[in-house]
Amino acid sequence: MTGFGDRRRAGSAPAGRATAPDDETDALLIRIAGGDEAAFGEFYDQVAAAVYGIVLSVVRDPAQAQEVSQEVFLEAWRTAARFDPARGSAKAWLMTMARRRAVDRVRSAQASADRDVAAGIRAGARDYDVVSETVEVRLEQQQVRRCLDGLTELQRQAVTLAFYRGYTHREVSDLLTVPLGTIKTRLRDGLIRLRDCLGVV
Amino acid sequence: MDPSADVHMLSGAYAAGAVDDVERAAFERHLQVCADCTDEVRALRETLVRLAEGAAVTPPQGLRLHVLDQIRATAQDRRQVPSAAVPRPQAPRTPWLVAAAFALLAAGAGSLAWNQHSAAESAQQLAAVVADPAARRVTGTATDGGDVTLVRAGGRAAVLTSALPGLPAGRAYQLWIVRPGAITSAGLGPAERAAAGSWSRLVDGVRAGDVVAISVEPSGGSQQPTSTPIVTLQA
Repeated sequence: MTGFGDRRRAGSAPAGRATAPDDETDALLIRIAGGDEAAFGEFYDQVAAAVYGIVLSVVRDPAQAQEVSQEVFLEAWRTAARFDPARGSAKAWLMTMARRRAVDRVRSAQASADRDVAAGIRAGARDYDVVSETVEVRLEQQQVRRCLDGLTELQRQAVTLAFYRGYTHREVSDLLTVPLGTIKTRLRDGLIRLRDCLGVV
Repeated sequence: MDPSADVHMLSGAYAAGAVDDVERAAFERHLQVCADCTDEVRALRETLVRLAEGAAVTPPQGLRLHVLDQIRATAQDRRQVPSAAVPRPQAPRTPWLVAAAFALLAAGAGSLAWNQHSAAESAQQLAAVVADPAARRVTGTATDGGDVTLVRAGGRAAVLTSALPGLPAGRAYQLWIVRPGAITSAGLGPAERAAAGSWSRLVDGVRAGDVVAISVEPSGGSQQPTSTPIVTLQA
């Protein structure tokens, strides 16, 4: 016996995380880059809820969220060879793509009509509760909720509007009538505080 | 305010994708000279992954089927390589030639040269090969079903399999580097039932023009191939 066995990782998730470890998802995306359809199925199962969740939180409409998520997964399949693990995780690569596509969808829908800032503010005021609006309850979610609650009100609003709602920091500044420089800073220090709270290294 | 400190403040908005095109370009210029910012953006992006996972919603049932159907009908993009260096896919070497080479060499007592990487071989090494802009890629269908893709970057190649059949007890897939006059073992794939589906291996010492072949062998591996390869791919 040579000992050259199948070296597939055991894939045990760290305690407290409901999701697959990042390096497992990275390995799947690398296989996908080689045209591996079975790996794509596994990849989908690991990330679909997060992709659909973030897309839905930006576009708000389930039918459109489904269409956009589909586009995101197709783009991931097509462009998997461009994923460079040295620059970040596969999940980060995918979430950046998902958010961008969702924002593109909202912008193209609104291209003919300017964004109604007043309506945006009213919607925005409701929107801060986006995380608690989601249907599925996960362990991870409670931690995110707790960490978001640990931010200052302005940090939380800036992060929520910019990330979960897809606004640019300029739009967030208009929506909240807070100077742009302040929003920029709150977005950064808010995310840094979340990073530390969530234990991201 | 110091303008460079100001652009640095953009890291959060940039990581979240909440900047316009002009700001994005400015920040990306800054990233080239600011290693700390690169690290910061990377960590903030991983933070946003947690935020997305926190907002996870189970998608409608139909989405999975639909997506998997679509990818089967969608060709993948390949990395752009400088036009002068674009290697045109070459016609695969005629299978009978390789089969003949196998037959000729099967009796020979070539030295067993394992190029197999240790168990510590990381996804990063495979990734580096697959992500190399100059990598050459070729895919073939295996005799009994399944696909095998070979990606070669420099002297290193990634072998990525998909939907290969499982093997009976005591048999394993073995990888070979075939060049005129010599067939060298490039290590073993998984054995028996575990050989089904998808797996990947990193192979060193592959030169342009070499053929990488996979055959079914006794699970301890053979000195030289003892069966006709299920797939041959020209590196």
